[in-house]
Amino acid sequence: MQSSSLTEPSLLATNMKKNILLIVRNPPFANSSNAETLDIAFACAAFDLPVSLLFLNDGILQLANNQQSNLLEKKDLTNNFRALAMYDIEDYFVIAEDAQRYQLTQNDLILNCKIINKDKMAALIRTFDTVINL
Amino acid sequence: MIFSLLIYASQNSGQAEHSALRFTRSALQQGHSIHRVFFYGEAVSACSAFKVTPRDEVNITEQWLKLAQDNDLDLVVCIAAAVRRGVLDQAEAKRHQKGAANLSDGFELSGLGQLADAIIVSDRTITFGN
Repeated sequence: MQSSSLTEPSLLATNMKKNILLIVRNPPFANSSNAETLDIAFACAAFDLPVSLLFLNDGILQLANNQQSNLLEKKDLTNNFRALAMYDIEDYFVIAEDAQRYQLTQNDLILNCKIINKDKMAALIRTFDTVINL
Repeated sequence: MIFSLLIYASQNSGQAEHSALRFTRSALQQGHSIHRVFFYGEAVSACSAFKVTPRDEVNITEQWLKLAQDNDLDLVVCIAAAVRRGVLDQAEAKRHQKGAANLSDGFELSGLGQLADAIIVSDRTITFGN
């Protein structure tokens, strides 16, 4: 639609800094989606876009410490996720129910996460302009 | 409204890329604009010119190219995702000393910065994933 009422918000949106939520919902070593989500985080940070991450469902396992990826002959992304902080990406969320399911506490996680209840998740997601869930 | 699309799902294992194509068509028909279509992950295999589609199936790559030609679409393929999956343009084929390039004409290899730019410029960035 070419009406001005629709193009004006576009111009406005371009000038505002959009915040981005990346959702990580696969376990480590399952496929390339976690690594590719991480690469989006770094690219967006390079463009000064504020990025947050939500580790959802099995995605919380990506944050488990003491992963022994050498046994699987796979690349360990732990250090890559730790490097997010160097790009000023320090806003991480996990869901309390997921942590409970895998018996993980903050001490078991490689990043310092905000733990939220599942019923707060929709409200959290709604606070972001762009959500990417690979 | 300005849309951009992030296509992540494999062309061969689901409906997502076809949905993305149909979404693009509908959006354009209704007068919206498509700033960029970004192919990432397994979706990069859709951009190989070496792919042969059976005669009785829809060749989505051809459909993208036709839509892009008619509407001046920007079809960008993530270079890192493409190279690791064997989709190379002339420059990458030469750089990695491979015998042939296979990126379909009409697609462009570029970095994830093009996705970040698309997010900034577009009112909505829509992911077509798994």
